[in-house]
Amino acid sequence: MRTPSISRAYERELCAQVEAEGAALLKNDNQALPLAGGSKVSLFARGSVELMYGGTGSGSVDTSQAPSLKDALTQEGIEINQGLWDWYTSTSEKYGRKTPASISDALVANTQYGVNEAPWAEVESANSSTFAEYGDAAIVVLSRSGGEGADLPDGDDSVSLVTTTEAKSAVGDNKGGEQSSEGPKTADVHYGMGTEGDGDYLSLSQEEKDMLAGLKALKDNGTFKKIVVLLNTSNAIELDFLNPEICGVDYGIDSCMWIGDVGQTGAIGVGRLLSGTANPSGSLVDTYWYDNMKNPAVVNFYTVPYAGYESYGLNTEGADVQAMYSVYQEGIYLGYRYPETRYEDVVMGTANAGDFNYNTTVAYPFGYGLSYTTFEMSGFQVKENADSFDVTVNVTNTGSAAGKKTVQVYFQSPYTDYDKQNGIEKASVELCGFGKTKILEPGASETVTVNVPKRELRTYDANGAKTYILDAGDYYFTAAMGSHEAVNNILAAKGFTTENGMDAEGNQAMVYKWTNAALDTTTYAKSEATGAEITNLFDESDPNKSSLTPGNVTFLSRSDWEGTFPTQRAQLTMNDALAAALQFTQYKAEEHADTPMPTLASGGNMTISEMIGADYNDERWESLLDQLTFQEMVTTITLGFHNTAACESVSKAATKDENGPQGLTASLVGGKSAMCYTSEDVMAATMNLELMEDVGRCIGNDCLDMGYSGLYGPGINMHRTPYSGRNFEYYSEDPFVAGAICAAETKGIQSKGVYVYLKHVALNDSETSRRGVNTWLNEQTAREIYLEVADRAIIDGGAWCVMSGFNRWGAQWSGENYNLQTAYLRGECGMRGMSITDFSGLSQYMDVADGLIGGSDIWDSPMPMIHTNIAGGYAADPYMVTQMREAMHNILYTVVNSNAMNGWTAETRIVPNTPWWQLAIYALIAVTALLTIGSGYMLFKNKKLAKELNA
Amino acid sequence: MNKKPRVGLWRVLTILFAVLCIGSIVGNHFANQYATTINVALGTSFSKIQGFDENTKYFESV
Repeated sequence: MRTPSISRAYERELCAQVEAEGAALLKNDNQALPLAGGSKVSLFARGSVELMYGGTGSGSVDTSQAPSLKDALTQEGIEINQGLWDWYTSTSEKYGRKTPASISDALVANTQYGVNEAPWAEVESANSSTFAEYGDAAIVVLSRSGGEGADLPDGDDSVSLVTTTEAKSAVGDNKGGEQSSEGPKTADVHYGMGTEGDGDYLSLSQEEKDMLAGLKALKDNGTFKKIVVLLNTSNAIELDFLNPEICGVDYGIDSCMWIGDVGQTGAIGVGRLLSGTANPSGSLVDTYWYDNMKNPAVVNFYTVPYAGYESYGLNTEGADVQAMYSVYQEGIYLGYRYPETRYEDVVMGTANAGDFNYNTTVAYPFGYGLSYTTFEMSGFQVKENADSFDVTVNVTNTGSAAGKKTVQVYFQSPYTDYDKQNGIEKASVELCGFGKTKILEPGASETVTVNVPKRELRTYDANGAKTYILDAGDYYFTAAMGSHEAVNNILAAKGFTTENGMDAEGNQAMVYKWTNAALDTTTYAKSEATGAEITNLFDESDPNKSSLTPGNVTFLSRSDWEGTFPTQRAQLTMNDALAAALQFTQYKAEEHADTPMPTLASGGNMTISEMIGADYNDERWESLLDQLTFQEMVTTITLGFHNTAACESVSKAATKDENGPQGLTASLVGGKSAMCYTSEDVMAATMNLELMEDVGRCIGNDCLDMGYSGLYGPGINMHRTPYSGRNFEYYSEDPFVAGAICAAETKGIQSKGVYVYLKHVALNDSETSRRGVNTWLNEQTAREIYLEVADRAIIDGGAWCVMSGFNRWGAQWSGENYNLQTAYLRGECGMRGMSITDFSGLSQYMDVADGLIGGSDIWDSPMPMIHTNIAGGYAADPYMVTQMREAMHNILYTVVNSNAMNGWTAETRIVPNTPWWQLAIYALIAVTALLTIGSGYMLFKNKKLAKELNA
Repeated sequence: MNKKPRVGLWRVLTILFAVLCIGSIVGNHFANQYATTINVALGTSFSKIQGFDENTKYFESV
């Protein structure tokens, strides 16, 4: 681990390095990249002058000092077409990218994204005279935005319900909304439709297609030598336009590079990659599809109301959504797990594989990424240890440029009869480890060893053993550039070739087979972190098991691809029990009448500083907690918006917390922002743990320097589909790379005494109806995909805290789900710190009593009218006071182990203080009162005088 | 010369100051309800630290 001093210059360089190591080169025909020194190029598309640096909302970044792509290329000695640049800049008001307002949180916001690219005819007529001089390359920057509170439109003709006049008028007739003269009324709105092209924001708009066709014509007539496309987005654009056989048009694109959202100085890294100063070594962390609708998760991505919900008077929008749901019908087959597994089944001739063509489905697989040089991997070996495997491979640079190489290790677990009988699903490959070489000069070699814990091979059996198991059978390990090469290697080891329908020969020399003789249902049935027994916790979130019986769902299964592939939304129905479970407060005080009242305001003289370094179970905590007053507990717990309150009784100072995933982004609340790094997917795509720990260290240092003790991040939700508005805040579609990178970043951040809040635990994977959406899934999917990142970040990274999701698990809000907050996060993962809610100021469903019982500790709310008032009413309720005391224990334990204790000794005390703004109000009251009295006196006196004169 | 009574002026001022005073009292009530948020935004606090030791650092900035 490097430990150089941190300066703004160091951080700007680090961000550029992250970008340079994370960007993935997808296509590079005829070595079109890197550009030759001194090249003269033209930059096309709105994105060229308006890069995506990050998304909108709480994680928005400060771009005031961010270099442009022009700055970056100029720095590399590449000359850009200034006239074209000026034209795009001057037309930005007319042709600017459209993005919903920050945290719009309205369903209709999903329709408000727009590419709004300038028509090619205008671009060409205004600038064609400049093209030839800057014809070494046409560089096209295709950008797509994302933001908190608004998912991207997918163009699907799906219907949801929008019930406000404002929403209907915003969408308009052309989107299917019916205008009504009868005032607010439910209307059908096709909110999946966008404002561009065919309504799918992630396909090219007609203007973009026209631009590419125009550039191809100019390339054909010799004006441009090459066409380079940069994908500037965290939301996977459909890449049909890169393949003439898929889209039917040859756009003549020579090179394509995914660069994600670049953060404050990532553009510098892009410039280095284009010029060849840096060599690409990033690997895609999402599957790029030709048509995103082939992704089995998309059909259920947007929310819908329960059938028959109308008669229950439940909300479908606003701050307390009750009757909208989403089913994770795709199960574990998220991202690459679907196409790779179905591909293997097609090749092997497995029954019910159905009609599936990998090569017309996936444009670029997970893990893909080219280099300007070539590498050879050899000497693949796997050594079995007691609890792990050491996978070793030799990497040799066989090309002519220096560069780094990522080694990705995948495994395949057997899909057994036991699995089929017990409803267990298995992907054909899963990433289980990665490593990266140093920069290898041409001809140089390096041996990379990747340690794979055996626990990575476990699978969750929710129906048979009801715990983690290790199946009997053959397990395969391979090292490959991406998930597809991994499957082909394993298929080759099984004896399959292109004659069996494989699209390329695999390399069986890169495969190791390990056999587990017998089904093991005990080794992984206990938590590695705490020793707790592991068993089903989330049956109530499984629609097929829930006592609330919303309906039956067929989850996608490789036992019958054709018959289980979701083609329409899973249908769930409202009923009395479900409606009752969706009410805001479930707590019944009479069920806890025998609880003794804890001691309050004991008047002891302990201070929090005495507990620095003390164990969580140290008995002195009880004496300290006895000193707290009820009002201190209520204030600290219910008014936790970006802070923890001061508690005079134990001399705890107030602390400050802040957003967000790309760095310290205080801009949302008007504070100063620090360095902001790339979007999280670019971080993950580096597959460089050392680099990411350094990023974390720098973010932590920024927090420490600016007086923050907690950070609302990293973001750990999954890229369930490319259409999530907040994908830029989350790492990947793959939980392993997300968990590993998050753990490294977390270690770095917390090394500065800054407690992270992993957000948002869990299933907060979309923005539509987010404040209360009901999410339904099975337990294997929950554990192996959606909880895995938090699992790794807490167990491997030591993450202190979490932020719960807005969503419900089934019908129960994440923050009040005891099995999630307490049994899983604390019981299985060993979380030590506090659990904060997401913004809860106006949401009644994030109930303080239910939340405290479930395991939430602090409410992200600045508003006292709901939670503070409700909590204040529990002063005589011993059970609730006990819950508050436990929450305070978690809060104080977190704070006492943070940088908030810098400067504190045994003698340090908190004393009352009246802040200047309150003194100002008091002064104002006093002055106006005196003036009122004075003028009243004068009024009285003048009236008297008037009477005397009149007399 | 006798002073001319200014009843109208003082009536207006009395009402104005009374309204301002009442507004301040009401504002103070709401400000106290949102005191935590105001403190975060303004960097202020209802408490202050005595005996703070700048040399005691459990986590160092570099």
